[in-house]
Amino acid sequence: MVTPTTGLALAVCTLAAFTAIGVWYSRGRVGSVEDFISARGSAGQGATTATLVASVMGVWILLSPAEAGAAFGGVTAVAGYAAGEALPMLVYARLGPRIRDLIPEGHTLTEYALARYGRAMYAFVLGVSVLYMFVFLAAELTGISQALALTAGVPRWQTAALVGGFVLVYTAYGGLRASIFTDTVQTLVILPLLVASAAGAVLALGGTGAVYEHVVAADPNLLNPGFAEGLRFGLWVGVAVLGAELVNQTWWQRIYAARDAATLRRSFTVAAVANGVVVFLAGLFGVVARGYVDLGVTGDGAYRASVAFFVLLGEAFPEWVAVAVVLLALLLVMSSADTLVNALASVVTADLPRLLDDPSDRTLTRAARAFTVVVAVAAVYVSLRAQSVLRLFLFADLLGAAVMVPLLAGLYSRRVSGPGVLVAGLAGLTVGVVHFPPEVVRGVVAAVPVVGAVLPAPSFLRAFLGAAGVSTALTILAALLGRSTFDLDRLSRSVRRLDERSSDSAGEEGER
Amino acid sequence: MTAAMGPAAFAALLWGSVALVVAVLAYEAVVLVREWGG
Repeated sequence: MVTPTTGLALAVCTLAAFTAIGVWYSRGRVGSVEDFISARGSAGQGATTATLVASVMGVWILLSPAEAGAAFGGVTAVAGYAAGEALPMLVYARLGPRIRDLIPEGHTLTEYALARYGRAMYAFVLGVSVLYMFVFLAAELTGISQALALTAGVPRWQTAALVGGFVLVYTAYGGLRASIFTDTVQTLVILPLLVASAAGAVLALGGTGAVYEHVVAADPNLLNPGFAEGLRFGLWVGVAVLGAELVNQTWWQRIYAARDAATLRRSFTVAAVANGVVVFLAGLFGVVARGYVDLGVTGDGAYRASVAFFVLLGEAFPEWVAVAVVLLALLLVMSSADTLVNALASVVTADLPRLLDDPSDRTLTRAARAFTVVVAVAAVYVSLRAQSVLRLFLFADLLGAAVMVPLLAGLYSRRVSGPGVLVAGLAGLTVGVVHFPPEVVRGVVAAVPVVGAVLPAPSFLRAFLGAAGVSTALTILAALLGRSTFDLDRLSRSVRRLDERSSDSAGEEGER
Repeated sequence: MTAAMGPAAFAALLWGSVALVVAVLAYEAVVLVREWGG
């Protein structure tokens, strides 16, 4: 256990150091709104890979994968989770060059949705993307507050306010450029800390032999590679993560920030390996925790699998490992929070030229900074007020699973239309919702007359596979039967740089 | 029936994951040094 004073001092020093790095690097590098939200062509392979790793690696990696390992199926569940995190990066390694080729001056996925499909699909994608990113951001602040409260006894509001405040300072000042540079440095610290924490933990527990004996004694299925429950969990969580990441604006920004298409492909591929193995390693902590502490998984005692990593930390590790983990958690939350704050600000900023009358670059840059402040303050507030923010995560994932294929099909097919993909997405979502287990959604659906009486049994597997499968099948049908012949070259004319935007191009949108 | 992997497989899985993270880190560091240096 780390004392509250040590925890707070560590937090302030870490946050201040990275804020200084972000501000220092950004000085003189943010000349326009383009620099602030797209940093177009500025990142080499090392920086692009690092920012892809750091942006994914939030403090959630110390919570969710460990919970999966402890409570949802041991190593098989963890392997599925890891594959789910790696897959979107591999998909983007193929999608990214296509996106840059078709929309060379783009910024956001919502710009693409508007230009390709029109207002209805744009509104759907905007809602899904913003909900997912905001829930992710608020959950990160909730997670770090919870982690520091458990390991160092720091009051939750202090942690949330400190992290939100410091991240706000350098993100509002330096935008995406500051985020990418701090991500790069953070990756170089996060990965060694993760390795040191993992190795230190295993050695502190008596080596892999002793750990193995404890885990098998607790439940041999935790180390059963063919455990059906774990395989089922791995399958649906993989689809859930893929759906969420394919509507995540964060990656669209980095597709444009990469120096060129080859850099983009290599970086996303290396990041796929890194993200997969990091999540796997983090998940193993949950498996290990089951061997040493009572997490309430079998029904006895309070359920603590969601904080398995920190429970184990408090009971079994020497103080230096605990300090390393607190530092790791802070870096993890900073690296994803700055990314999400800037991504959310970019979605709104890229839409402003359509809403305002020919705004100047200076107006747009100021607006982007103002939105950064609003997003950060709102996220701190929500993280402190809404205890159930984590429940929204799965619903946001479900929305992503339903919309991912309909949204991205338009990059390849000229024949899919806005109404066609909207119907496909909504049909997939309907199938997902009627199978979705959490009571907060199921209770609402069950209250609908007629529907409530024929509601199928709840199942995450059927919800996510149903949402993705039905929307994919209907999108393929729409592409086969559709009569639309959208000119994909029009995307590059519709979506233009914000600092060179002409008033005539601003009005061109959607399929007509 | 359960069929947990053996202790050697578990050790290989755990230390193999650690080694892979170290390999990615080393690769990333080399690329960054080249970029920053050049």
